[in-house]
Amino acid sequence: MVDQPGRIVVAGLSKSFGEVRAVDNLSFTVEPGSVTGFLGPNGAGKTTTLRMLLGLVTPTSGTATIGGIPYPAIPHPMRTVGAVLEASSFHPGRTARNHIRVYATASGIPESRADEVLAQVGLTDAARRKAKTFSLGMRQRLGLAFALLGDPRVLLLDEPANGLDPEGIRWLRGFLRSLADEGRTVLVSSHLLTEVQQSADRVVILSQGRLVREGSMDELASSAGETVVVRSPQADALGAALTTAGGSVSGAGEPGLLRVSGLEARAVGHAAFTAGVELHELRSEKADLEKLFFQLTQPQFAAGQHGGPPPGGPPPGVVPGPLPTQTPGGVR
Amino acid sequence: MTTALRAEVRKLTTTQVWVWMIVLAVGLTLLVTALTSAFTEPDAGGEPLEAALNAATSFGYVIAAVLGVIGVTGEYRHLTVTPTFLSVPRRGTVIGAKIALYFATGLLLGLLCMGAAIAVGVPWMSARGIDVDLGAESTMRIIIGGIITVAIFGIIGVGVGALIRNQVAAVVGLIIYLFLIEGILSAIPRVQEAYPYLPGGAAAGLIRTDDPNVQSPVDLLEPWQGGVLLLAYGLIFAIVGSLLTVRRDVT
Repeated sequence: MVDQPGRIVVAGLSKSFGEVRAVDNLSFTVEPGSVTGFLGPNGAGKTTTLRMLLGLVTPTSGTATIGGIPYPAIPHPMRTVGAVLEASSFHPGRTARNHIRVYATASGIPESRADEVLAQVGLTDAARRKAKTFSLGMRQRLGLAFALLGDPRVLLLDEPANGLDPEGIRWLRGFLRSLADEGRTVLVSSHLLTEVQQSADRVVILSQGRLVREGSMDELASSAGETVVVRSPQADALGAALTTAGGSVSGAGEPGLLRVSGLEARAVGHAAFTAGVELHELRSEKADLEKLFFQLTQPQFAAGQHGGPPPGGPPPGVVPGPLPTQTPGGVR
Repeated sequence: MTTALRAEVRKLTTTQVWVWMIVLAVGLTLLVTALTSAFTEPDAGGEPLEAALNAATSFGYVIAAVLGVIGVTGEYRHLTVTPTFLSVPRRGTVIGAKIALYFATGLLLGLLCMGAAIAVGVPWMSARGIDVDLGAESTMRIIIGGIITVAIFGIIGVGVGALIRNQVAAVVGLIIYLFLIEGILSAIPRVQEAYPYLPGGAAAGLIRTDDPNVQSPVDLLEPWQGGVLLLAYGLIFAIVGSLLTVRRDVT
């Protein structure tokens, strides 16, 4: 594989904290020029994965590289990768401007950059205030200013929308979009799909430390699957006809109402016509991404029964539980 | 390394803690010097100026060590360890920069404390007819040895902070050790023979006085031996801390 600058590659990554397997044989790739949503419920292993990518946490096995290099080995790491982790990484008695200038000095970046990045995140007026006076939303912005300091090609953001008001979230979405449009790699974690739905091109979904889905937002939407709801006084006959036609049929909550997946509305209507079944209602229902996300990240689905096995993960049908540690490639 | 050091200087000087610590150490030194100057009888014998310089060293080295401890543990307490290790991923470099900075800070603190004790003590004691000789060999030894002691304790503070990342535990543990434990150990027969080789005992060797009123229960090391041993303590703590604790996951 060509180590393209700015490409994030996680390969066979695992991390155990004592008995707890926080990240379990995780592999995925993030391409430059895109916003990738890194999703999963709290405790799914998102933060641990990001910290391993940044050399703050040592993996139990596997590798995490940025442009083919582990973070600590990158010559000027802050000029290549910017990161926002927890929302309160600053001394309460230090001003925002001095906070940023400390890390500009540490990474050999001109001090004048401090005022630039503070302006970029809208903190110019608060630059000389002590960080302890900041609201949570301002702290998030200060964290973002730190990440932008080195004008990095890659941005890793852990729950950056936490604590932002709706206006702030809207601003953040546009901001991330503009960064990706400049060709940067943006990996943004969230426990809410809706938060990244509008800004992300791709998603990587975790549950219990394992990959449950990786793909484009469009693929996710189509796999959420359009379903067709159909009403008929001859529901039994219709159900049989639709099953024969290749659909998968279930009850939709009331007598005479069926929910069909695997067939388009046109095909359902045709099957009914061919079978001579009378229809009272025929409509297609849009995919419910939030519901799919919820299903994917339920513990019992974590082994990947939905939507096929994750690459390198267990085969479908394997019950989630302790798995033998396997590290296909990139063993440290 | 130089950029990491410059960043550490900036960290220290952009909060107020160092100012208050210097005010505290110099203030306590002035208080003890003033009391000694005011209440020592002119014909009581002994070396009151050396006693004041000794006190200045003690305040200086405790505060220097506390500053070093805070310099490391504050990173963990305020979670700034994350941006610190993101900007300088080689953790040993960060600890090395802190060792250099807090040695220099200790040097400054030692100079200020000694200067305060001399500036107030010498004229005041002379005015009261107490015999003071700033140029005496033992006095010079305490002044120079004291400044070096305070500076080395800055390194010891960084080492202790690296070993014990919890700020309250590290500061309280350090103060209890220096003020209580070593004093108790030095009073127990047999056990006291180890005292000259403990950090406080090594410091006492470095600044040993000829004042018969300030007598150590056991024979102390020679000043240079005490200095080398003290420096070794600081560096060993810092190296062990770097290898064991600082390398741990930052979560």
